[in-house]
Amino acid sequence: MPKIFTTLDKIRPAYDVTYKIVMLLCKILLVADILIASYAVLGRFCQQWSRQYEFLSFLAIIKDPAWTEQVVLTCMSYMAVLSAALAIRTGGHIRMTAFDNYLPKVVVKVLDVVADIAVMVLAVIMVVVGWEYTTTLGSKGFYESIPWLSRFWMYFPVPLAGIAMIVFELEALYNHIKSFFVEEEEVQK
Amino acid sequence: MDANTFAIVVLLGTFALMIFLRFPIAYAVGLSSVFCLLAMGNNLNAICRLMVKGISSFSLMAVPFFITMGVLMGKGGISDKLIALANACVGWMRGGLAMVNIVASYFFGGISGSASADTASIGSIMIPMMVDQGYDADFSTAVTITSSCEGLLVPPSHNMVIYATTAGGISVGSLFLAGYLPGALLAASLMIGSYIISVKRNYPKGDKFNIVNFIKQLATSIWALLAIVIVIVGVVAGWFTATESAAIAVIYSLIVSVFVYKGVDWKGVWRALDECVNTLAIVLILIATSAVFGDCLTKLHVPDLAAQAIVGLTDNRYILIILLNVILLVLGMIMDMAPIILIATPILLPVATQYCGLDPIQFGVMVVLNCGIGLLTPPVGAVLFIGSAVAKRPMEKVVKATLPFYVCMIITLLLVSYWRDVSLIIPKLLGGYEPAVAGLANVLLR
Repeated sequence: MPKIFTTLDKIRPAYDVTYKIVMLLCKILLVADILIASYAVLGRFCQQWSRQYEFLSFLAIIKDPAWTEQVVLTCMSYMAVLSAALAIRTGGHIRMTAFDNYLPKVVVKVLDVVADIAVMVLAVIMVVVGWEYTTTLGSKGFYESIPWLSRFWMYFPVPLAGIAMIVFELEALYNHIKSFFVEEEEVQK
Repeated sequence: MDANTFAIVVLLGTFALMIFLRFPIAYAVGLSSVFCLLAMGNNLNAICRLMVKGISSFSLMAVPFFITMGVLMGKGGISDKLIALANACVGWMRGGLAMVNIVASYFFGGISGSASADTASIGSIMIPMMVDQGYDADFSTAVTITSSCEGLLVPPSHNMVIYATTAGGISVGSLFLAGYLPGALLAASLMIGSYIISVKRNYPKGDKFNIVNFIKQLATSIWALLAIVIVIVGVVAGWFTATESAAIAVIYSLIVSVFVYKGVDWKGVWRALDECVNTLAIVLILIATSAVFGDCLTKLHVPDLAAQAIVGLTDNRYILIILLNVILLVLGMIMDMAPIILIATPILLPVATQYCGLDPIQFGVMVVLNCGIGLLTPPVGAVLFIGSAVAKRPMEKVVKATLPFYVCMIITLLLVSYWRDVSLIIPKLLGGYEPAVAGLANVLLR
């Protein structure tokens, strides 16, 4: 194996840790979404029952706060972009692989590298354009149901997605380039 | 070439090129939209706004919740319980295990909503069992993969939620109810196909029908099936929105899987969330980038142009419907479900409703069934691949064994396409039918 790959491979544990942390964040966001949405339903029913039946009036303390919908949606946006970056690492994204069996392996590898570069370009656009929009037009105003929270946080997932995509795309690109020089099993190590 | 045409060529041309160059579809959709915006001379700022807008839909939240519910129920070990219930129902027939496979998929699909999950879960139990009883391995695999498509139609199906959101203004409750009869018809046609083959090959019958055993199995499975009842009754009765019902169903599934069936512990639940995140990773970013793509399509009037082009071929609605089905089937053969629903719906829905006289709900069922058939066809058939892998059979042999079942599926598709009551009778009878006039207007005006 060329020496440069041995040196660069030392960074892999850092990627493993990053992956685990991002996955943990995604799972927390998913659980938060489920709990908040369920709490909102519970709150709505409790309010309704407490008004309808006097003996259930104590349930009025459980409310359906106005902020739930926007918080749930914001959590989903963050989960969507972070998990999409994870899928770059696992190669989970859907792509048309119909002709892979008919193409020489080296062509498939070259196409993988081209796709990596293109995704990297999109990621850079998302960072630049996303940050510009988030800090200018996007940050004007606040969440309707959370008047103290800037809408910056609503649009921030786009540049964040760009950054996360670049981080994991660098590794994918490295792996694809490495596959030209070393055996397939060694790439996975 | 005027500027509008040039932008359309850039949008669709770069998209097609990137798809064939094996780019991840979600990012090919995003990149072609970027090129299109540049070709139109628009500010790229729109990307940020549209991506967030695309994903910030409360209805879409049902998608991660339904996926989570399916994964949790799957991990909770409901497959063998549902197979036992199906066996008690139809195991006595000629080719009983094939029938059991089909009926179990109807039950399981209602819970998981995923054809891949169904094939992996039911297939790993049923295929070896069928082979042991003397069924041909390829036939067993073919029955497993084709019946798994029932799950796409039987509610709650997250693909139907994606369709409802993409089409705009369609009641998710109506769409859910609309899937029941086509799902049952698909099951019935597959059972007829299996029965004919079973008689020809003299496949065995199971034990005689026993009402006590049936009640016993129903009592065991009822906890899993109640998740569907919560979602459907809740949505149709107007107690919850689809998203709220999905969230409640996740909590319910958690309780059933951990405390009732004891198929998974808390550590297992936490690990199962990895699977949910991995699935969501593919779907959600695609929805976000498709919002930008959809906006470009609308601004360039691509749906109108596509409608004119398709209608220009013929004004016979019966042939137009065939044409729509062929387009969707071909797309299904090369692409996955979610991208087809997200990209083709805005383009084909106006043709389907304006020129073919289809109800948007009926068209939704048609789209999902077409995509389902696409999952079973080479070259890109995810379920076909999974089925072949589970059964350890070569793909070409499985495809050959599946041929009679393709016919069954096409018959069901034609019934759904030409007979609107197949999709609409249950929503109408149960009062869940809401004509999607507003949604249609949305699509046409966008």
